[in-house]
Amino acid sequence: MSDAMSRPGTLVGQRVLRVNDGKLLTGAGTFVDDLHLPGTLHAVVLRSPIAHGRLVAFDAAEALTMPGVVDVLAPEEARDATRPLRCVWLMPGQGQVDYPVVPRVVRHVGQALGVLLATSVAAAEDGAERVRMEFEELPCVVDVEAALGDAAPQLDPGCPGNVAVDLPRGDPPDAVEAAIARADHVVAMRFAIQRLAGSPLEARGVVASWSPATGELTMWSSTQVPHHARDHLAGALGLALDRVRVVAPDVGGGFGPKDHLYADEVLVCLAAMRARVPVKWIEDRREAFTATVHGREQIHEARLAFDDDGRFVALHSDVLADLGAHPSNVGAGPAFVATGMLEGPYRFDSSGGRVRGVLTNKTPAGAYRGFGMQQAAWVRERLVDEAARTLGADPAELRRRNMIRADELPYTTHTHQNYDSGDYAAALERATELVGEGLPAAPDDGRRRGVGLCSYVEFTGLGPSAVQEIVGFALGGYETAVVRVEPDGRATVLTGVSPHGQGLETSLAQLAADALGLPITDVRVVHGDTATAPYSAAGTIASRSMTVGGGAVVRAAGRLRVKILDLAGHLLEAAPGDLEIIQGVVQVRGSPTAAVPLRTVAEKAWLAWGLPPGMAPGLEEKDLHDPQDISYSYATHAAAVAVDLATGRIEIERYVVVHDCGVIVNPMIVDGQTHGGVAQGIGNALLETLVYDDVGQPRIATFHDYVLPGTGEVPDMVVEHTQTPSPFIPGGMKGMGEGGTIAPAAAIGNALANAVPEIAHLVTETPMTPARVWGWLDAAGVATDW
Amino acid sequence: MTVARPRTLAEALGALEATPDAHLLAGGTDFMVEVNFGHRRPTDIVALRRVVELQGHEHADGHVTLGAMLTYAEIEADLAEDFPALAAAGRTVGSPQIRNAGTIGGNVGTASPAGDTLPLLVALDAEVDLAGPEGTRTVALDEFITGPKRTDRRPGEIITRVRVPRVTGPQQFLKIGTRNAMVISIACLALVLDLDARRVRCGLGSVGPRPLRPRAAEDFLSGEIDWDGPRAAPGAVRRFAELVAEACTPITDQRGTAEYRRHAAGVLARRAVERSLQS
Ligand SMILES: Cc1cc2nc3c(=O)[nH]c(=O)nc-3n(C[C@H](O)[C@H](O)[C@H](O)COP(=O)(O)OP(=O)(O)OC[C@H]3O[C@@H](n4cnc5c(N)ncnc54)[C@H](O)[C@@H]3O)c2cc1C
Repeated sequence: MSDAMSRPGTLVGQRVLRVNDGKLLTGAGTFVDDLHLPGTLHAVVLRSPIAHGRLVAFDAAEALTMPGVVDVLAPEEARDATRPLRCVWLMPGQGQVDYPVVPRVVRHVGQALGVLLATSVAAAEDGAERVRMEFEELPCVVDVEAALGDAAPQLDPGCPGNVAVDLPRGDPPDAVEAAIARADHVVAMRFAIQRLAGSPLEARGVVASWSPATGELTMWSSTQVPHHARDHLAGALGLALDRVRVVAPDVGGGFGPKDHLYADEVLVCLAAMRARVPVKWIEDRREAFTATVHGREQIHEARLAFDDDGRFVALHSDVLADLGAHPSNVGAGPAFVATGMLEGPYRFDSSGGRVRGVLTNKTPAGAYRGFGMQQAAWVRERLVDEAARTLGADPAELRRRNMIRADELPYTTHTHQNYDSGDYAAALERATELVGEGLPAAPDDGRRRGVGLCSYVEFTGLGPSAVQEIVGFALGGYETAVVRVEPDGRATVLTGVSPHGQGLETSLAQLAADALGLPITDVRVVHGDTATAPYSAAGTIASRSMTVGGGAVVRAAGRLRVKILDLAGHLLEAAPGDLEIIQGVVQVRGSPTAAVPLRTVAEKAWLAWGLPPGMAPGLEEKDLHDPQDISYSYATHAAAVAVDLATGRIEIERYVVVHDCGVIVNPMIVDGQTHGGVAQGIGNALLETLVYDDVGQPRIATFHDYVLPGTGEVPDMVVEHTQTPSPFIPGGMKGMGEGGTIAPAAAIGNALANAVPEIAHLVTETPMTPARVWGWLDAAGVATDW
Repeated sequence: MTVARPRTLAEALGALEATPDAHLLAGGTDFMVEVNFGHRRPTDIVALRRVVELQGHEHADGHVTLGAMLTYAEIEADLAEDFPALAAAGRTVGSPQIRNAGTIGGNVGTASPAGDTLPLLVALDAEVDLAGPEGTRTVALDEFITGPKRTDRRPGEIITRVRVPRVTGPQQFLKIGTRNAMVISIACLALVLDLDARRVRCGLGSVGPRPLRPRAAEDFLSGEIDWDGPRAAPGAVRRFAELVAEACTPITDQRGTAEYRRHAAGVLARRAVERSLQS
């Protein structure tokens, strides 16, 4: 890094107010549904009402006579006009590697089969009711363990026994078994993590517009990944990439599920191409519950082996991941990461696992904030507390004893994670301290009280492209930024990442503003349109936007700074090394009279007048950042809970986060992401679950029953940070968008087990609803009755 | 679709006569959800928002009549003194937006087993005034609600008011849901210690096909309470809770198991009695 690039700025580290909040808070944002192109038709996606069966008849004749109905894209027509969608993350030996846009045999309720277009949403909905679909129903399977049974219906010819993926992880199985056999103690538990819905405030939606004259298709989409969506859309429709444009306008949250192109989005585009007028489809909430990928559902048979003195010897988990109807674009990826990050911040002689990705007749499972790491934390941290209970040891002390020390970093785990930097025990220490500090004396209200910890290490900033090649994740892992000082002296930053609520428009601007010596108000971040944004294969997923995308901004802005100083030095007849840029003015350090406004420098650069010999015109730099390695954030969360032994209700009385995500660009945004992540994690821990009946019908498909956390469940929390810069990221940042979500279930579960040790062995499933906790209390004979 | 917006009860009844299949629309917080889900396909709607006779509340001899269009927000603001447990129940319903729109007539009209106002209303022996083509009639709420989301409302009838006897003595409303607020009850309970009649009155929600009166439990505790305190022995309170649980006929659904619901009703019963005796 040049001197200019590493010069400390003034905005990084500041609680800069988010630059786009005014627009969003006054309702002036432009989301997909706010787009009104002339002549737009409205689409309803025709979906399977059953979980498994062959479509044997489709008749839209009556629907087409309904007022306002314009066209019906039938399943057969759609199938003929499309190519299957590729799974992006392919595990070795994966039995199904793509899925048709429209299947012959439906595999889950809500699977898309066709599209009806009408002049209004109401007419489209009325019309859709008159479309007749007949199915030859097939037996279905909704339980992941049942799917492995001999009697289970087989969902895919490439996946015998419904197993799409079967992979060993970490050390060879005999090495792990031998280590476990050597240890003095083993805690073995079966953990079940529920199925969840990402639940962004804005569900998915698409406006598609086809220009027959230019052969160009534009899709406005509520997506996290415009380029990725474009690539797959062109592939599915057989169009050239230069004829497909995808725009993500304002996007109201994603949380993972909007990380790829969906079959129904292809269908809407196809319908627009046939209709030759724009088509709008806005997913409604009930539709979202079956049409948008779910997350999390895994079963872990896990063991932690340790010695009498509390030293961890080995860790192993045998994971069944419920993939749903077919591998999604990330397939068994979350289970791969769950086993990859299972070791967390601790040392083991040996560690490993097995991942099986299993098909069932449910909505496919995909990315969801935390991506396997929430499951890993739940499994590992519950085992650690049970080990402490076995030994009669203090859970914090047991953690401390086994934690990888700061002086042992960098450290390579048994699953080949190269932990970079940090001080894991310091976070544990501080969290333990803080959770005790604020606790009021417990009132004598009959409730039991307990404290629980969760320490984790988080894989962030996907990723070095080489790592993605090794793991078979077919997405380039780099990011590109273009930074330009316009002729008026203001800066534009073009980024490939695609913010959808995280505040990146602000934090990326802070990075550029610091490098260019501009006030934040003079920097505009532009993103989300494949016609203007630099190519980004992966988009905004995997806590990578600030690390990978921010690193690219740091690099490009740093290069531009060098050019600015060179040109200004030429104009001022000063050495570039003696110059600094302050509030848009380039001046000789220490003598502010020898100065030239950045605007003048920019004018000269764009006019190409009076440039030093050899300097190219313009003030624009582009740079690419493919991180050298993964950055590992980490934290310890601590929860203090009160448990009502009569009702099973858990109340969180105090919640503490001590977190390290390297250099913090905007503490307000980082705190906000942490607060939101913890809230979502509390939902995972206590409230949310998706349930199916045994014929594959969802029993929960509204927010009446899919219970999200509210102000009553999310306590005030204490969030503190330490800052250990990433050695691999220009700017030193580590990823943090997901972190808050990873730990709450484990911290709360450990607090519950601490409060009521009689049920500790039962605390293995989430969500820990009052009814479920009461069941545990009742089974252990500690429920108080009336 | 036609929408009638009558201003008087007579106009409303006329509109119903003109379009006999019309659906009545109050705050729409139940109705519009059903329309959204395609469970109902209204062709005609009679909107009750402006009907003067259905507004507000009135104190009469020994009771208060609540207009069918009385919203939860109004109940909280205006009736907390007369019926603290009704106001408490109202406060737990939905969000502020729902409480500004949702009405007591709608809660009775929907007759959901989870209707949060219903336990208190049945506990107090509330009656429902109806107006219809054949004139008006008054029915005990306990009889009016015949099953889950089923009532004895006859074609062309409108619920005009709910008559709620005023009873002296402490009242409680307690509710358990998965979340602390804005959630449908897994179990709820209203309890009134009727000091003048020396009777315990209790109503249960979400633990049977319709709001329940656990009469055996009421009779038992009425006989056990020392009404001059009022006081009750802990054993009696426990037995009451047990009898309340026995009175439940809950189902298992995605919100909770039958077992948990029955247990929860007992817990709420004990807590409600204890709180009433403390106050
Ligand atoms: C987000 C949300 C949260 C909710 N939370 C709760 C809760 O916590 N507890 C709870 O009990 N309920 C809850 N509800 C349900 C609902 O708000 C209540 O049942 C409310 O009282 C319904 O009143 P309304 O005025 O909106 O009725 P509407 O929806 O207008 O009508 C409901 C039914 O009653 C009929 N009806 C209405 N008025 C009359 C009348 N005067 N005469 C005859 N029939 C009539 C209608 O035809 C319709 O069938 C919730 C609803 C939502 C959407």
